[in-house]
Amino acid sequence: MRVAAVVEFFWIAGAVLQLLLAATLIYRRAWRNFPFFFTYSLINLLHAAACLIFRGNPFLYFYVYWVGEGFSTILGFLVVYEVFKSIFLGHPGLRKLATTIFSVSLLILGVFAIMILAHEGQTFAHNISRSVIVIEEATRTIEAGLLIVLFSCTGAFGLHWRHSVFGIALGLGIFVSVELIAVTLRSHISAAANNEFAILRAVAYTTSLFVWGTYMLLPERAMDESQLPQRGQLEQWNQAILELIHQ
Amino acid sequence: MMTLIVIILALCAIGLFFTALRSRKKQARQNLRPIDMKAFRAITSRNDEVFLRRRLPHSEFSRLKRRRIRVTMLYVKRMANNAAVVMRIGEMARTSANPDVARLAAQISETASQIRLQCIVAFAKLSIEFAVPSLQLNPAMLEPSYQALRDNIARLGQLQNAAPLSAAI
Repeated sequence: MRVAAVVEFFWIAGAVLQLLLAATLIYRRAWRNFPFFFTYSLINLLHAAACLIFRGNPFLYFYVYWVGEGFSTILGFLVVYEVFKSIFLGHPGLRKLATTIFSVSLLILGVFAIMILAHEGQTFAHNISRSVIVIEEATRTIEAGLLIVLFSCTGAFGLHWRHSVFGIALGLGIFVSVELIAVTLRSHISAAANNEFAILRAVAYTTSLFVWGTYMLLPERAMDESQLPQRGQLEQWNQAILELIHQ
Repeated sequence: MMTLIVIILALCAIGLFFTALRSRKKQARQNLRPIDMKAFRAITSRNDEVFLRRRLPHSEFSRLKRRRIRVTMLYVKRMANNAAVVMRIGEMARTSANPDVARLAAQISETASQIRLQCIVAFAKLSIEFAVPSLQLNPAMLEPSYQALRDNIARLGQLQNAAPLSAAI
């Protein structure tokens, strides 16, 4: 009973935060820069509302829930693409290399997802809800993998994240990773643990909503003259790099 | 086994996100850092390396070369950090109302990103030499891109009339 109350609390908190995020995105006119993320947020909000409406009907709730999850997952991929595009927008040279790395990673992750489906699919072939969980595990694996590649490339290339872009990627990353752990363990542990997984998922999603909202509201840093390079520093750097080249 | 791999992947992802969060805060405070050219020249001198190879026993030479490579890696890391700082500055200058400044800032940012990439290559080559000290690999060919970066920074400084930037060139 207490577990159910906690789930209910996070469910309501999530709905309120989703409304606040939607208001923030509309206020920021986020559809201009982040059309996929804007759609993703709105679809999630509508999905939450539809789940609330059909909560009393288990049959309809099942389909509403999983169809919404499907849309959310597809849009999640598009959000990753949007973040990728935004980060590499001003770096055409790096974008070529990053696109190659991304394509290869996507291929490897796709093969891995097929292996998950083939491995777990045999076990749950006659159970629809468990099969759906396995499909979600496979797709979330690809999504989490792509986010790992995105964060790794950005770190290695020393690229600058804008607040809003970083917030979107971080929030999505937290949710996708925790969701992946939850769906992976849920398909192996008894149904009695479902409430605990529901709490874990709700906490992760609430955290993500909080991250998205906060980073969307943060003002972007303006150019600070004091950060500009000093003559001596730049000259030394120049000389040092030239020395390295001539080795 | 498959479950374990997926869980490890998810945990790695969470770790990476929090590392990125921490390094982003650190990155925002980073400035250009000077490099001691004399020391760098001494540590990367191939003539010194040839001399040491002739005079020292193989094991002693390998030990010494690895120490030199460790120090060189610190320099390359610093250069890579400096390139990242220039990229950040270029990124911010790109939003300038002056289209010439914005265009040049884009070029600077692009050139700095190429240097960053070359530093990664140099780092990889140094890592191979660290593993096999008898190898002599040529570090990244940075000159053309770095020269372009320097010219563009100079032009950006002139366009902006910004004292610290123009003075830096």
